[in-house]
Amino acid sequence: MKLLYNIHIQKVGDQYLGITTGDDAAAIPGILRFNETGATIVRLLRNDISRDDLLTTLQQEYDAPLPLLSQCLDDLLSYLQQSHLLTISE
Amino acid sequence: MTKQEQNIFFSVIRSAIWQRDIVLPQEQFSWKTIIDALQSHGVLAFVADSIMSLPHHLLPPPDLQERIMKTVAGIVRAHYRVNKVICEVFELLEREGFKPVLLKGQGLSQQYPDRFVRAVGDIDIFIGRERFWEACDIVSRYCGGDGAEREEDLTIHWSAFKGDIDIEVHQVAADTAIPSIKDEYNRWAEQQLLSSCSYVTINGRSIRVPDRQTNSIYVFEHLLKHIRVEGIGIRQFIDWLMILRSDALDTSPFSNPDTLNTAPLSSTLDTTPLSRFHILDAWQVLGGILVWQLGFPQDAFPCWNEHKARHSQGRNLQYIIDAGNLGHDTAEAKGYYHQPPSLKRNISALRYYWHHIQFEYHLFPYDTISKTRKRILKKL
Repeated sequence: MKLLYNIHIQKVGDQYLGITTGDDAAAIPGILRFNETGATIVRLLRNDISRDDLLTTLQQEYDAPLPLLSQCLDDLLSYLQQSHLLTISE
Repeated sequence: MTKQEQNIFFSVIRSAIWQRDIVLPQEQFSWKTIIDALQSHGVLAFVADSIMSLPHHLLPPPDLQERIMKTVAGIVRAHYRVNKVICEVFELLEREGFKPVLLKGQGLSQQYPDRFVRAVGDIDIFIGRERFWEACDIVSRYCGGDGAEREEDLTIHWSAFKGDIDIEVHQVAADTAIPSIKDEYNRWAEQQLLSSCSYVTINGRSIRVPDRQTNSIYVFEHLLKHIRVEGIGIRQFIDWLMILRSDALDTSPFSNPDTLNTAPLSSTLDTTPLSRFHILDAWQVLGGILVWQLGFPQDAFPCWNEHKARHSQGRNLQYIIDAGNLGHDTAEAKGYYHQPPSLKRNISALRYYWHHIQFEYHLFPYDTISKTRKRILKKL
């Protein structure tokens, strides 16, 4: 799976803004808001990556229980999919 | 802004420059006034992370937080748009054998710890006099035109718009704050820009920018031009600081000023051009703002002169903060222009021009004396 648009992540305080840029700015003119983990996932999704690989990378980066990370990841992937921001390759 | 709001304004900016905590007073203050001032000085996105990192009970009201976020998003998007145009124009020019140099704006963004938060302006490209119109033709066609219309009396740059982005092609580096040194300054700048450059990477492409030595003088001269003629924002002082800091820093741009290694700066920055172009006084006066308001370490500031730096404070600092442009837009000056002719208006005008001349004298003593002498002789 991979992001459909170029999304720049900008840290502002404890929020991470997701900002579509370039030709994609018109597609989503608003601002997406993520926490730190969400921002990490969005950065990873700039390249084609599987859910399992995402989870493995998150496990290496964050000292959190696996079920919590897994839940976090699924919530965000579901949000991105519902917002038509994600493309899932076969 | 009140004195207290001014202190908060600079504390917020210092926090963004040096990664320090913002110092807020116990008393009530208006976040709106501070944020309005930060925006009008072109630094709201630059300080956004610092403000939004405050403890929750100290954060600005939600509507102002939203304004900060929208400003950041707008500036980030503008960076991508402008960077794309820079790369495309440089590609076209370099393909035709030009060696363009990116001046000011986006070249300076690269000196910032986070290059996406510096306010975005136009694109300034230095070409020089040789094959100048040929370069303008290329840019004109890139912008959808049929070629550049020759302007015989063109003195500095030719410009065209790609959408809402202004591209300025320079045949000489700059119009100077002191008109009498313009030709000599531009000969020096051209020689520097064509012989010694640095590179920054934008969208994976190497882009030529002035080397730090040249840039420190060039950006300062540009600041002076703004202070004297066009109006100034604190953002321009931060640009100047970032160049001096990047030169002074040993390694990381996030270093604490207390740990700055001052040796590289004193050894590498050649301050001869400051005297040669009669801008050493202005450098020493305005250095006071860098040191006292923006937190640049006094020991690391080249040619520091405390006596002269004091002239940047008090009323002169107020001029710069309130309106820039030597107070042309201050209530005092507006009072003069908007009031019907009266004794009060004339007193207001006299006070304003007296302070204006005093500040100008401290910044440009040589030029102010010579200009005043010429004016008097003309009247006689």
